Amino acid sequence: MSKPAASPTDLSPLPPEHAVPEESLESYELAFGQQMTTWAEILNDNGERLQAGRFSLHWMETDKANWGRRAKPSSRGMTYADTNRVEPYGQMPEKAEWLNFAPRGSVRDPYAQRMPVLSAYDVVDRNELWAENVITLYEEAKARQWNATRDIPWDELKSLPEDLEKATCQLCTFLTEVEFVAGDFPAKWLYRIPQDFLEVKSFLATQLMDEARHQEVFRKRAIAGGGLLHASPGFEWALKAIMEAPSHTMGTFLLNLLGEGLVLSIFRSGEMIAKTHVDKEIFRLCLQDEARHVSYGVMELKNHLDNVPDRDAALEDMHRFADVGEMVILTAFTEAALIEPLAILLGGGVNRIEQGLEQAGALWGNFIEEYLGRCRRAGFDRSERCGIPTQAPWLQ
Amino acid sequence: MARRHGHYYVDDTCIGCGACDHACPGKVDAVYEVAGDFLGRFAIVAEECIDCDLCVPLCPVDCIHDARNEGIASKDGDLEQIKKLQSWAQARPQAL
Repeated sequence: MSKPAASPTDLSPLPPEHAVPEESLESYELAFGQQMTTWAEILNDNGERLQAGRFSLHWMETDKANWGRRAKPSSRGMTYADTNRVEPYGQMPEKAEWLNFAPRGSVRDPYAQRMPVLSAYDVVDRNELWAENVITLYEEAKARQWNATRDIPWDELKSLPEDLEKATCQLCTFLTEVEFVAGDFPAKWLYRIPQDFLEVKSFLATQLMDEARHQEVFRKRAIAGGGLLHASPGFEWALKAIMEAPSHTMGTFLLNLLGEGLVLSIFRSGEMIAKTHVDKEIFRLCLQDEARHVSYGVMELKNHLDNVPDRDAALEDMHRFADVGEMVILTAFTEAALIEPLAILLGGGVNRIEQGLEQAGALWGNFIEEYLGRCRRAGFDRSERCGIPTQAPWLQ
Repeated sequence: MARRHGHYYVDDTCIGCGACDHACPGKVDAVYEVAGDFLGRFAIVAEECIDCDLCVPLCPVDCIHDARNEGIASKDGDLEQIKKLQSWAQARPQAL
């Protein structure tokens, strides 16, 4: 065997990697150094106590605690609704003041001065995130989790004629693309919500899991059927508009109520769109998840509008935001990379794309009707101002 | 004497989010997912419903109705009328 051109010992070592930028680390050191008096005092106290062999046992004091009030499970088990019935665990602030991890209902007042403040927690108003159905939706989300690896009969997936297979794979490419934002958006806001709103954070965590599973199942379906096809600038602008929404309520409206409402309409037509029983099962399982997200979006907006100090001003702000949001969603909804595969699937082949387009027009009409109905339910009437035409452009 | 029953029903615009399912008191459990429904919609067993109204405000699409508000089933014995209002839904699946 000939000697390799270079043995490992001949090679220069790799340059050291700077996984953490120097300025970030310096800034971190500086911040904790400046706050050292607080946490170093705690460390000092702990050290003295331990060295002296003393016990504190202060945590056994129950004078200021809610000790002894025990939650009882309902017949379904122990839900947040069950624990929230025990005073004061269910008392949620209108404005969160605890910007750290101290659990709601724990003994925390005596320690307020020594607690750190996390500046990331800046969505502090209950009316920016709460929905009356968030607890029951969280329970439903946990009960309906499924597994995109095992719960889809992948080994029964049959090849379709090329036009239908390409249309299916393009639709799955679109869905994979949009499911990314549906996961990133709640992730972006989840970490900005203080722990006092733990029920909302828990629900958003389920939404994150749902969307991870959706992008997974559509990616797998496309690759199993031939491959991912075309990403689309029109989709991207709509997704960017969601990610960069100026408030949680506005972004939730655009993602959950409008965007996911559109995706829910597509999934609900899954019996017509899907050309295999495997695809039908994918749509069926996904639409259950999407329904929860739409549900939260509607009721979050309703709660927001019902509780803001100046409803008229909030409504006008929402209208201004929706004026833009509807246009960017329309940009996505009119993309050839969405409308054409839908029409081919609905029509039954590329040679029946015209007939399929008529059916897609009916789907469009249903979607707008459902969208406007959900807005009305939230107390946000868009019927006179909606920028999306009630009839599909190709039918006008 | 007619057996007591609830007066709430779900119309076919339900989106299947399930917010009502867990709102129904556990010992009542009158809300069920319609078996075999592709859209995953929910319905109410009128015979088990206790008219507590807890599910109604949680519905995002206003698809849960009190038949009494519509001039229907204002007295006992109108169970069949309520069931007709929910006739889109198949019977509740049998527990295994």
